[in-house]
Amino acid sequence: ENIRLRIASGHPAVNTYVNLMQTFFVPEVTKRVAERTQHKIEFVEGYGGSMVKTADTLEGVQTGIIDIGGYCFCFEPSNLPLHGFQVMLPFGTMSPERSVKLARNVYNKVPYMSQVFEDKFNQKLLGLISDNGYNLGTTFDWNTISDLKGRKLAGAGLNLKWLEYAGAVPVQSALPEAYTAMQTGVYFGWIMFPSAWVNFKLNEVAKYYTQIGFGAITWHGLTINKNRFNRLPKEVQDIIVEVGREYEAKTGTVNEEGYPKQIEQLKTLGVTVKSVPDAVKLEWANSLKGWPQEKATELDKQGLPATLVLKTALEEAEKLGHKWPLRYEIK
Amino acid sequence: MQNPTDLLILIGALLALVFSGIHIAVALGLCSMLGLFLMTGDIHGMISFASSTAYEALRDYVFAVIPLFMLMGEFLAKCGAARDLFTLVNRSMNRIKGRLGVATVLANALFAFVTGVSIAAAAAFSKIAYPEMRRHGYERKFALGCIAGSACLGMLIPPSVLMIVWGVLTELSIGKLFIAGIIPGILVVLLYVGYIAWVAYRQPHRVGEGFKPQPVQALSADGQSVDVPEADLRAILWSTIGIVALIVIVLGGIWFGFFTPTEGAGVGATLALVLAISRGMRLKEMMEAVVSVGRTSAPLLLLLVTAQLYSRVLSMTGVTGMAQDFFSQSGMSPYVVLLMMVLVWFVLGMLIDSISIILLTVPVFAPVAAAMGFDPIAFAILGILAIETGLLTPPFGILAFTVRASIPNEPGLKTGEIFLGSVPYWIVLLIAIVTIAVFPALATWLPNLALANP
Amino acid sequence: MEMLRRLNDRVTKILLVLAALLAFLLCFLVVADVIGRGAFNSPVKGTTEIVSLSIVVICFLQAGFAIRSGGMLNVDMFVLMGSPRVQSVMACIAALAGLVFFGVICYGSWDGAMHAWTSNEFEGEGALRVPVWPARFIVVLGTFMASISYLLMLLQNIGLAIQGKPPATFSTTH
Ligand code: NA
Ligand code: NA
Repeated sequence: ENIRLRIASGHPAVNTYVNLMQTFFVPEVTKRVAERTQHKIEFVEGYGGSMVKTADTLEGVQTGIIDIGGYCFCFEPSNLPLHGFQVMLPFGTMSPERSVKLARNVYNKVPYMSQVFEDKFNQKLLGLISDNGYNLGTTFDWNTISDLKGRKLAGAGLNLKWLEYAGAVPVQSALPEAYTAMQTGVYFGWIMFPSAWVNFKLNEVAKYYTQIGFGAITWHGLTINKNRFNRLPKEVQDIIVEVGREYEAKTGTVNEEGYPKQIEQLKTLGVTVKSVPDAVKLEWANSLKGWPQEKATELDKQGLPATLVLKTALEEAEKLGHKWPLRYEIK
Repeated sequence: MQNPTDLLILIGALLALVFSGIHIAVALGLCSMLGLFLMTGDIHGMISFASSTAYEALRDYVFAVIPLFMLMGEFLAKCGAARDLFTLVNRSMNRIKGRLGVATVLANALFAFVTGVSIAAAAAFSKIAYPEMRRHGYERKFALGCIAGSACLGMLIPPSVLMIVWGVLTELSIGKLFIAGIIPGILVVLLYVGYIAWVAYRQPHRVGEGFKPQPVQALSADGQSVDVPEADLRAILWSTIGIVALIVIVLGGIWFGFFTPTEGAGVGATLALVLAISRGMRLKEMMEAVVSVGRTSAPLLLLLVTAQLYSRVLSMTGVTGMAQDFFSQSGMSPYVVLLMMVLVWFVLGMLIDSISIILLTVPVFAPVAAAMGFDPIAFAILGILAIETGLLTPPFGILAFTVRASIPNEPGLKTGEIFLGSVPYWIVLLIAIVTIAVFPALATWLPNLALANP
Repeated sequence: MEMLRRLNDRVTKILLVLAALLAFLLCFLVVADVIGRGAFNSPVKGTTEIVSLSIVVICFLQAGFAIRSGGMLNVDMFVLMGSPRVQSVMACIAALAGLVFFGVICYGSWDGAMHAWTSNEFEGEGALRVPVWPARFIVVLGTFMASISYLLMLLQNIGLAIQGKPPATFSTTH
């Protein structure tokens, strides 16, 4: 059987996870299917929004317009409000490898997390995707939280809360706008990981990168349309699931390996990269102390297992060796 | 090879529907639905995706520049301030023939530093420059071509949405791309002015030579009712200063640090309103201006929706993979490959919008071009120039349609006439493409100079 | 029939004016945001979300009028070669195509709009949550009015085609 699958993402292949879809998932599935089965698989790839935009990838997979999609749960604040749970626990692990393992453990312990894709959105979660660790890049130098008071800083979606609590003025933005916005002073910093700082050339306009360590967040996923998946031959299904899990692990390792390299790259590009004392971290975490509970209560009310998820995530992080600067309490 | 039948059906069906007179937005939409159905065989999925694209396609901050810059132009047109600007240029450049044409090009070049899209410029200058050129006896085709042609500058001179999208896709520095566009932009401006000067010299009747300007009252085509006696140079001078100040504020605000293009458009429209009210615009005219923007922006926005839908469906046919195979396996010389790419851009430029073309082709073309030894910055500028030509070519030259839609009351005006008038400007863009291909340093010199030592 | 047409013209015109006013108000929102951010360090929360959603609203509110007033762009060079009757027949086909397209979009947008309403779907996070159901329902309304406009165009041109007359061209000078 000759199988054609459309695979897409709203993000361009500049993003690590999309790049891995292109250079790992697609060729690996193609190769294994050719080697181990009588079938032949052909992918039609569409990245950078050429088939689906970031905000309608979930729907694209749901309706079967595309077969496989990679997307950020941050664009589904109504549909998947709980799936950004690591954002609700700032200053988590900065290791992408651990972040994605942690997320997997939570998904295993709370079946709702995977099941909701199949029950509500007609798709099957193939793999979770870790991002690099979030830090704060700015156009100005800063040392204490009070230096950030009243400053306009950008974020996307849920992580805007981190800024709000620190007393900064949060500005909602999207990565492609970041360059001009910081060049022209629409805002003066971004909560962003180093790879994006390099890939989107933000080093040209914002020369300070502070490793505050908000944490590496796993809140993207790779999913496949359920009907299409069920129609595939069993051995092809198995290969897709298998490569999906390897892809998931790879988002962790590739980001993990990339991080120090990208920090080095930032330095050679003339960016002042620095770390902050633990006291600053603690102060910031303290300002956010009540927020995890607030989110848990809010989402529990919507009938979601939020308390369970957040509690599990806190514990799993500790099991993986993470030490919270401040142990959030969820009741 | 992917599945070329889907692709051929999609393009064939589109051309058939369009040439049978079906509204272009509808034709694009129906063909997309057909394509979705062919690929998925699922009517429900097709309907659902088409509908969600209808909602998603425009849901972006950047699209607000279209009505906002239209409002700015409309307010300026309604209060007659634009007319004053042109009158002033006409007088101060007394010995230059074709000065209104030159002024249109130069004003567009200035405007281009404010806007990242070309459509808004075409709409604004259709309101501002067209009535003036007509009043001064310019040939209709020449005037229309001049406006459509010079509106192209909007996406060539920074800031430009095309450069931003290109930079993100190819990991090129957006700042470098911006700077790289300046010299080619000036080159195109000079060539445009050169062409107008040539026409003024060889065919002076086309630029209203020997024509006595009609009194302002005779000008009803644009519904302008505010009467400024031409003799009142003082008032004209003041309003011109107002416009220049407005452009400097909007331009400077975007360029040096206060707002995004969309915000610049909002600020510009508000300032234009203030300027217009201070020049005596009444509530009735204000409403007319606002409603007229509604009338002209709707067809364009609808076209943008279905064009995006079509481009998504096109990319689902796997056209990208096909092209990559084709170029890498052909063994052609670099210049032949470049020629092929430019031809593809021309053809796509006739069919879909510029951003979609970049999304579709650049991920394929840029690596191929880099592998063949082209400088990526020069290639980007060349590509943007080539994609820009599509704005002027039938059947879907969006700038020609914008000009047409912005001049609703001109009797017997066909879009074809605008296309014909744009031909010289299209040729100029072609010359610029060849020039950049031969002298890539025109694009790369300035960014290397500026950003070598940050 | 004539009454229906006049009613449609009336409604589409009202929607056009509403959309135009919304575009006009966006100017002030954007300016307030710029001034608030620049001078007082407090941007107007949710401006990005409101502007993005408004542009969808503006587009679809105006759709009906764009169609009725003949503002929709098309290529008529080949159609004009035919006899008046052929032209009218082609105009019927064009109107039918428009009816089908916008009808399908209208039908398909309903579920999304209802979902946005019942699940209280919103845009933006943290700073301000802007509900999306108004924009979603306006897509339904706008495409409905567009369908009606095409339907009226179809009925009118069927009559003209039978009589062998050229198609009705809608003046853009409303
Ligand atoms: Na520009
Ligand atoms: Na075109």
